[in-house]
This record gives sequence, structure tokens and C-alpha cells, in this order.
Amino acid sequence: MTYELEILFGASLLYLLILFFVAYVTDSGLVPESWINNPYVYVLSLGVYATSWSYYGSVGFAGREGYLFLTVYLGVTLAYLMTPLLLRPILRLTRFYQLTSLADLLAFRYRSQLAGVLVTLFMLIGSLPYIALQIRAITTSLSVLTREVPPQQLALGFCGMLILFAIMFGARSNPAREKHRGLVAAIAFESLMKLTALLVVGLFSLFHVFSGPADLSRWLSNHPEAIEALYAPMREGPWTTLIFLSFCAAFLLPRQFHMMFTENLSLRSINFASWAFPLFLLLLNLAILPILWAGNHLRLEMDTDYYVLGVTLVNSPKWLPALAYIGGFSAASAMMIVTTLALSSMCMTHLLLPASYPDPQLDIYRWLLWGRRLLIAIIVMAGFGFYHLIEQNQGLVQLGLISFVAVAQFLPGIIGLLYWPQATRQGFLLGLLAGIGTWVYALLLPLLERSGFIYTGLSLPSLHHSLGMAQWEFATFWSLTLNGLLFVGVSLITRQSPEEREAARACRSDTSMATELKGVVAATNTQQFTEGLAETIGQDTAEQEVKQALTDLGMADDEIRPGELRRLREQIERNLSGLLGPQMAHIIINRQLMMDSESKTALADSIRHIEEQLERSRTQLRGLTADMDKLRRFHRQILLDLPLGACAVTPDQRVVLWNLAMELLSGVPSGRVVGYRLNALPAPWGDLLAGFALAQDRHIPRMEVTLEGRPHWFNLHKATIPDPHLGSGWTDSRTGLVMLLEDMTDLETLEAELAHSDRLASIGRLAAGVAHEIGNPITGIASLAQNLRYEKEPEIIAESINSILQQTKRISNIIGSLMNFSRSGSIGSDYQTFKLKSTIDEAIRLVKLTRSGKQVEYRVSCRKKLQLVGDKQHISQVLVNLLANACDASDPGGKIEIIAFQEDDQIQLEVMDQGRGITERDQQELFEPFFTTKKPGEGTGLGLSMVYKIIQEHQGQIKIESVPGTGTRVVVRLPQHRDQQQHETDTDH
Amino acid sequence: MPKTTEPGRQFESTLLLLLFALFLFTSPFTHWWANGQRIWFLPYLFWLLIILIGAWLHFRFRNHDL
Repeated sequence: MTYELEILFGASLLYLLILFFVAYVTDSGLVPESWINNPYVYVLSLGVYATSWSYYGSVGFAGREGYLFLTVYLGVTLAYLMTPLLLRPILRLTRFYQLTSLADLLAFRYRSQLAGVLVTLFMLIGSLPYIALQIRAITTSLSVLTREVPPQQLALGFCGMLILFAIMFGARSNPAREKHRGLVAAIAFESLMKLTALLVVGLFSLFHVFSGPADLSRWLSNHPEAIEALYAPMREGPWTTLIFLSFCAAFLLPRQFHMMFTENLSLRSINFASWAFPLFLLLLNLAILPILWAGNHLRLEMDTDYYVLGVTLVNSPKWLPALAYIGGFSAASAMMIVTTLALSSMCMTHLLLPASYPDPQLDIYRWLLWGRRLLIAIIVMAGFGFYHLIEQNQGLVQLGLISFVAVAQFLPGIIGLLYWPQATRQGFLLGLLAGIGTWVYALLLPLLERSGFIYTGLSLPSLHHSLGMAQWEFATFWSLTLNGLLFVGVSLITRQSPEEREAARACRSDTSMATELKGVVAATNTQQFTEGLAETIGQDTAEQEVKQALTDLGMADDEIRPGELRRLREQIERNLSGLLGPQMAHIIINRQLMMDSESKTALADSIRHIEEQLERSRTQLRGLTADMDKLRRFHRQILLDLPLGACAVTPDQRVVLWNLAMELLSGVPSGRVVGYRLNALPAPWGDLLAGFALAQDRHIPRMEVTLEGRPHWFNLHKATIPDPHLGSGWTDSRTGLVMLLEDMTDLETLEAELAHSDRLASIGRLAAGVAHEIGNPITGIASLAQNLRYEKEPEIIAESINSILQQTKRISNIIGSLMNFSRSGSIGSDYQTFKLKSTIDEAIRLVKLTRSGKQVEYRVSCRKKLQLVGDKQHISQVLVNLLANACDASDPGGKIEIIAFQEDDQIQLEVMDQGRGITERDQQELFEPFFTTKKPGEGTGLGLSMVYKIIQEHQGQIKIESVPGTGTRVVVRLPQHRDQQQHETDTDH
Repeated sequence: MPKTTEPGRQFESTLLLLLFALFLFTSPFTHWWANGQRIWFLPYLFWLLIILIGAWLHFRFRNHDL
């Protein structure tokens, strides 16, 4: 059976249109995003690994080298098994630092533009034979099916279509850091296509060429040499070397790196792929041996590389060869598209940009976009040129393995990147150069010589034969040995630059700590960021990049916090890395957004930064580090859940901690506070905390703060935080602070209620006296009123009325005093200037209402105009309590002396009695609540504790001196109002 | 002795599986089973075994991934 060339060309065209359609509907959002983010799609997109080499070449490889063909997939399986150790750390790095290619990754770690250039050039040279291989596979498959040599224009047209597809769906917009969902969907579709085609051909071989598994078994029994041919090369051939090569190729080939890391849409997918992708490869290889044996059974007279097509040409349905051809076409096209995109990105950032950086006046996005498109076209056409060079002289496998050995040279650099922080740039570059040199000598030159392109006269093939090694073993062993030895040796004798050390730290898989936590950005706002960047990347691009970074971090345009600006700087560098490559981005950021080297940063200033990074690296922590992280979280939770408001500040008064209690007390969320200076906090917290931070006192009790129109009371405490980064030479003013706020409002309210209760209790005790005092005048009033009924003399009537009025006034005075004393007032709001003498007199009047109060004599020594600033009602309560106690302690007829005078800026008030006195033991407990020496029912034990509290509130002191049997002297000292210093004096006894 | 964390166990399990795969495919044992073998699909069986263990590990530790 043969096919018309036009039919196959039409089928190819139709297939490509379907591919365009799949990519287009995905990019347009017509396909649900969850479908594209599905791990199965990711796994299928990784199927780009299986190129026409796998599709066609595996059968040929198996025919010539038996089970060696499986090594190409077993190595991949080993690499994917190592996902948690190898692939996931790379994925984390590429995502976080927006590294879009292997060259980016290595240039980032070794902080070397030269590394990027070298990797890109080598990758380019190593990949061209592979691209050529794909073109050749397609043209050869056409000639197998049509039995005629296809015209060159066909290959050229095929290349043109792929260029168009790559540009439309891989380079449609900038920046390169964007994910291309359409491309992922199309590549996954291609993988599904080649898997289906190969399995169908395999099933056809099994059930049509043979009559089923039983027939195949019979055939194998009759041909034991077929099985022996599979196992013999395993014992003799470069089995381990090839497994190693495919292990490297699994993630270092440009197309694999691109689909696995750059186009990865979901982090979790890579874990799923760790087993699902090897399963995909296993399914793909199930068909290889049945096809090989079917071809042998049919005695096909063609290259075994094309048995996949050959078996379908014998007694098969007419559609089957076309399906087999489309499968091969899909394998080749997927490889070419993805490889070209990956290489174009590398060439742009590591070759074109460093060689000719565009004028900042130009639209850089546009420049990069068109540059990349041009590179895509150049690379595909270079592959086409290479296809001409080596057209007929190499097998598919040889061409593929040249690329595998090339990418294996990056393995030492990758291991250093992940697991050896001491590896140096010089070590990496020299090792890589040695590896490249060996590869050129052992593989590339022989290839070109065999193609007739050059003549070296080195008799290269004979060298590895003389050493008893296969060519791949020879090339792989010596290139990697020299590479590795130089990498390790030179790294041991050279030193890293500070930048390289920082990058090595960022790459370590066990910490993921981004940068050394010191320094602040010289720019103090986002506008200055834009202005700085505009000089290099242009105004529009700078504005877009700053805006993008602000959006990524969820920051506002007016951000001014130094810690946040440093994060913004890092984010911009990462974003630019995705656009211009890591090294170029690093240079631009260092030049345009300089760090302020004079500024010292405290450790506390970096707390948020550190914590964010630890949150990100949580699952990576193991062993002792994980335990320490748990401890850190525990301590942090203690601070956050502390029932006291906690606020920690840096030496320059920037808030680094604002716990939950503080949020509740202030009503201000931590997000609006952390990173800002204290004085920028909303009122009244800014002034309150900033003032307390600067105050000498480490504790301020009962500070009154008005919140939403209501008074609140707080106890304030503070302590300094020594900062190890600042050393021991810093004074207190250069250390951080932690401030604690204790809400005393409830306690204050409770105490006010208690004071009121105490006053009511006092009134209760006064009740009998009150009744008596009021009873006498009322009796007098009643008698006078009765007499008035019969009195006719106007003079006597007037006198009686006067007497009644006097008695009424007496009653009003008693009731007024009681009312004043008993009313409940709000705390702290009744401070006023009042005359102390009148307050003392009123207190005496009240005490005289009690039985004991009547039986003693009072002597008052106080200037009439001596004034005091305070709560008059509370001071009155103090006096009533002190006088009542003095009366209770005095015998009938005893004397109580009250002296008040001014001394310096204080007023001293003394209450002395000649009573029983207080024992020394009782004196120690006098101010304790509920302590009393009186009989049950006579005292509550709250009086003196209330006196003590009121004196404390007035910032005064109280002292009791007592000698049992002689009397007691209570001395109260209260601060006096300054205006009273000049008041005239007048003593009244 | 400190208790191994879940991520730690994942790493250990991965390493053990890798060593097992290396034992199957790149050790003298490989030459032993390849020598005079008449079951043609044996490499596929070993390959499938490794994949199945890998899948089991994935589902066992998937809550601790990333």
C-alpha cells in the first residue's frame, strides 16, 4: 500500500489546524481552567519527552540493541522518583525567582552572565541535531509511506507552520514569564495523539499481524533468539551509562525544563507526575516490542526505525498508516515547538540582551517580543540547516544521544546549586568548559566528520574502541569526569563573591531564605522606584513593573515602610528576572535601586520578612530545624494570644509586633500598623505609645485614655530588647522596645462601685444619728406649728416662723450633707479646686451624726482659704472614714485633732486621736480590703482600703503612726495646687 | 529518639524507593536477572512495580506535598 504525498500533506495540515484550534480555545478561556490545571494535562504535556526518536526510533533501537531502548525511559523514571529531592526544589526556585530556563537557573546561582551565555550556546548547539532529527523523521516517514522522496519545500513548509504556531501560542504576548495555557493544552493533545497512535499500531501488530498474545507466544517460542537479542545487550552494552544519560535528560533537556518548570500551572502536579509520567512512558513502550516482532515476522525490508509505519502497510485498514504517520508527526512537532520556545527565551536573555540592550526610549516589551519571535524563526531554520548537513548519515538514536550527553554536562552545576553551597562560579565554568570540550571532541566532531562536513584526521572512533568502551560510555564518562573533577577541585580552591554566596543561600533546598536580612533601600517611596528604573528600562515599563510588583505583594502605591520597600525591590528583581534574565535584572536593580549602606537595620526590623520566608519554606524543614520552627511558632502564638496588649518597636520606633489583644484594645488591625512608625498610628495610640516609648518611667499606672468619648484606664509597662545585630555598644535609645498595655477599665469601674457601696455603708451607720438629728427639729417645728394655730400676736408669730425656718434649714443641711456624700460619681471626672476647711467641717458634721461622733471633741487647725485640687467627694469620704475610725477608737469625752497645713508644694492633713491605738501587727494589714478590728456588724473592712486607693489616685501618700493605749496619728500628704501658694492665711480653731 | 516528621518520612521513603530501583536496574542483580532470562516482559514488570510503589507513596504523603 502506498499513499499520495498530497493526502499526507493534507492530513498534516489538518492535524496542525486541530492543534491551533486546541490552543486557541484554551487561550480564549473556552476550556475550563480546572481542566488545564488538571495534573493529567500536566503529565501529558511532559510527554513532549517522547519525540520521533521514541516514536519511530525505539523500535529500531530495540531491534539493534535489545532492551537498551528501555534505558531512555528508566532513567527518566529514576529522576521522577526523586521529585521531592530534585525536581520540587528546582520548581520552587524557578517559580519564586521567575527563572524561565536552565540558563537562568545556573546564571542565577553562579551570578555569572558568562555562565548564562555558555549554557545557552551549548544548549543551542546540543539541540540542533535533535531538531534536525525531528525534521528528518517526518520527511523519512513520508517517503516510507509514499515510496518517493518528498520535496524540500515540504520540510520547509512544515518548519514554517511550526514557527507560526510557536509564535502564536508561545510568544504571543510579553512578558515571557506568563504561562501559556494554550501551548500546554496543545502539547498535551499531541502526547495523547502519539500515545493513541502507537498503542493502536501495537494492538494491530498483536491482533492482526499475530493472531493475539497466544500466537505471539508461539512465535517467540519458535524464535528464542528474539528474546535473547533483547537481553544480550543488557549484559554487554552501556546499560548503566544510558540510564544515567536519560536521568539527566529527564529535567535538563530544554523542552523538559520548559514544560516541567516554566509552564507548570500547579505546584502539586509535579508530585502527581512523579509516578504518572513514568506510567505514561510505560504505556508508550508497551507497543514497541510487538511492533518490532511484527515487523520481523512480516520480514519487512526497511530500516527498523520505521517499522511503526511498515507494519501498517501490510493488510491494514487504509486509515491506520495515516494515523501512525500523524502520531509521528505529533511527536516531532511538539518537540520542535517547545524546544524552540525554550531556546529562544534563553537566547534572548543570555545572548541578545547582553549583546545589544535596547534604548530605554523604546518599548522594551515590544522589543523583547519581536526579538523572541525572530529567534524562534532563526532556531527552527538553523535546525532545518542542520538537517541538510546530516541528512542521511545518522540513525535517529545517535542524534538523540548527542543531545543527551550535552545536557548531562549541566548535572554537576545543578547538584552544586541544590546541595553544595560552597560551589563557585569558577568551578562551574571550568568544569562545564571541560565537559563541552570533551563532548565536542568525542561526539560532535565524529558526527560532522561522518556527515562529510569536516575532516579532522583524528580517527576518533578508534579511540574509544581502543579503551574498550562504547562511544557513549567513553563520551559520557570522560566529559563528566573532567567536568566534575574541575567543578569540585576549582570550587575548593576559589572563593565565592558575596553576591554568589547570597544566591547559594537562596538556592539551598533546606531553607529557602531569600536574601541576607540587612540594609534598606535608598529610595523612600514607590515613585522613586519608578524614577530609578525608568533610566534603564524606560518610563512606561518602569511604571508597569512597579505596579505589577505592588500588585503581587498586595501593597498600596503610597507604601513607605523600609521593610516593605525592600520586599518590593526583591519582587521587582524577580519580575524583571522573568523578563530580562536573572543576571541582567540583578545588575539593573543593584544599579538603579541601590541599598543604603550607611543604614543599619535591626534584627527586629526583619522579623516580618523572616517569618514570611519561614512560612513559605515550612514543608521543607526537617529534623532539628522543624522542631525549632515549632518552638518559634509556639513562642509567637504566646505573644499573639497574650491577654495583654503587646507592641514591639524597633530602635527607630517602627512597629514589628501588634498582637491580637492590642488589635482588640485599639480597634486597629496589625496590617495597618506593622512597619509604620509609632507616631503614624491613629489617635490616640500614636501619641500615647510614642510618648511612653520616650518616657523615663518603665511603668505608668492607671493612665486615662479617652476612646470613643469614654474614659479607659491602662497600666503601661515597657522593656528594652537588646539586638544582637547592633552589638553591645548601643545605648538604650538604639534598642528596640516591647510595650505592654493592661486594660484596667473594668477594675476601675468595680472599684468605683465599691467606693460607692462603702459610702452607703457609712450612711447606714449614720442612720440612727440622722434620725435623731432630724427628729429633734421636726418635734420643735411641730410644737411651734401647734402654738401658731392659737397665737394672735404678730410678733410672736413672726418669731415662731423664724424658728421653724431655722429648724428647716438645719434639716436641709443634714440632708444636703448626706446627699453630697452618698451620690455616685464617675471616676476621675470630678477634679476641682475646693476649700479644705469647709470639707473638714462637713465631714465633722456627718460624723457627729453617729453616737460615737457625738461624744468626742473636735479641734480643727486649718487655714480657711487653703485649697486643694482633687475629687471633693472622695476627699470628703477619706475624712469621714478617718474621723469615724478615730471616734470609734476614742473614749467618750476624748479629743480628736485635725490639722491641715501647707508644706512646700504639698498639703499635709493629720487626724489624731487619743484612743486605744492599733497594735503593730494590725498596722501592717490596715489597708487590706475587708480587714477590720471592729466587731462583726460594726465595720465592713473597706474604709481604710478605700482611703488608701483614693490617696493613691490623688498621687498622695498616707501613713499611720499608732501607739497602743496612747492614740493614733494618721498623716496624709497630697500635692497642692500651685496657685494656692500665694493665698492669704487665716487660722480658725 | 526524636520522632520523624511526615516530610522527613517522605524523604526517607523516596530514598528507599530510589535505592530499590537502582538495585533492580543498575546493580549486579540486573545482570543476574538479565542472564539467560526467558520471560520477555520482566523489565516491564519491574518498571511497573517501581511506578506502583511511587504512586502509593504519592497518595500516602500527598497532604505534605509542597
